[in-house]
Amino acid sequence: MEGTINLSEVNRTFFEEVIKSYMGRTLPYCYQCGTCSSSCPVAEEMDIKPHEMVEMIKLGLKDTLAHCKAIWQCSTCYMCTERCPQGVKLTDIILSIRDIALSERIVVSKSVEESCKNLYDTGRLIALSRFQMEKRSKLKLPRVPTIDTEPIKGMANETRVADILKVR
Amino acid sequence: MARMPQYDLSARNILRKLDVEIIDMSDAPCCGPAPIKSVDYRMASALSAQVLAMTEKRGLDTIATLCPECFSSFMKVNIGFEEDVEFKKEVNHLLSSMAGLNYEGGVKVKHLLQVIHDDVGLKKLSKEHIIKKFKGLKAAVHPGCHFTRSSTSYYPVDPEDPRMLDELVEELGIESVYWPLKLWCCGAPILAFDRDLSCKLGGKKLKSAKASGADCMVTLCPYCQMQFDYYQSIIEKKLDERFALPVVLFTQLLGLCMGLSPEEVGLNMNRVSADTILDFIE
Repeated sequence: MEGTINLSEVNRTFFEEVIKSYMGRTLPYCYQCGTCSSSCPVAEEMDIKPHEMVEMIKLGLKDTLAHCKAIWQCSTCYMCTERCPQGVKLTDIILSIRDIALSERIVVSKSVEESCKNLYDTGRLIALSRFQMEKRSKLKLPRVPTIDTEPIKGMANETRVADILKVR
Repeated sequence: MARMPQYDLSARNILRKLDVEIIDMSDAPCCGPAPIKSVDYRMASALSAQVLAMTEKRGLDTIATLCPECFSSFMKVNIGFEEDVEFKKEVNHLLSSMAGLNYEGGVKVKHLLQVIHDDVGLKKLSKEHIIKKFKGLKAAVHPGCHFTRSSTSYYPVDPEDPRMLDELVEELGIESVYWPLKLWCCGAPILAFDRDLSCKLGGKKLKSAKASGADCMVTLCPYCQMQFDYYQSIIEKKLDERFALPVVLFTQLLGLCMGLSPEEVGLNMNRVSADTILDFIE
């Protein structure tokens, strides 16, 4: 994180946007102890450390945060959430920043798009290959049936998943 | 567990021997893991709620998973439904309008390890089912993240000292070694976003396990297994370091001790040869 804050970048609604969501609701309780960053297995590689992310949301630095590498380096191991003395669910908050960054098209993630597409088309995140199917039948493992994707398509169209896929 | 046949195979063969009936939920959709949670938590949660509602509809009150990420997704819906009425309403609205289902919460969520450790029970397992044990084998037990964290009051193990997998492994005569990075993530979830970092994390773990004198690593998660076993050679190349550390699923170890053959637990499907562990069976 840069030492100086560019105030022209401040987004005054960002904080509200995050805390009004189910995933971001615990954010206000953070008191910057840094337990999250010292527990995080990838913090030393991150351009913005976990505790800094929280402060940046409070400061309204939406653009910097939505563009940073760190939100995609989170391994979702939930160590920060488990250890937070204030009950801040930081993993969920990071996931909600990803959500904002993706749905506002600030960033594009090919891999998330592919997961959404597979889910939409097959009901599974990763479709089973023919090789895997054959292997299963050789091992006499039960056949993997196709999934009724109608409910999934419906849900996707009601949520931001459809925006990612541009199918609405 | 369609994509990791040795896990599927070993689990089914164990449960058959334990006389536990399996009711497959293979027509259920994906649980809505991190990539979907990264886009829309309502959709991710509705998918989990759908699986739990489908479980209920079959007259069942418990769902068991092989995958800790599924376990965690289901747990998070159960916990969220208990703690936040609005969240429950939001998810159920999506679920009922699109899938014609409703979920009130309350379906018990278990990982297969709990079924074996608690429901069958280590005592009964030891007395009636374990017919041979390992001797002198040292293992780095990798409890993983999503079976362990996070919500201390709801999760079945102590997040700072999860012992359930260690206890099972010790019951099989294996020594669970202390290793500093035991609680760390395997790195698999970031493979799609930052391959180098994923390898680095996986490499740190493998190094820590090896340095602690482990002859093998034990996992309970298909993604951790994939990371440490399938990708071990890639990690080795990236870090220019050789580990050659066998990585085995707990179901494979248990199956061997219950008298199943290496083929019946799919040991030949592990990428890093795990044949060396067979020499430690008494």
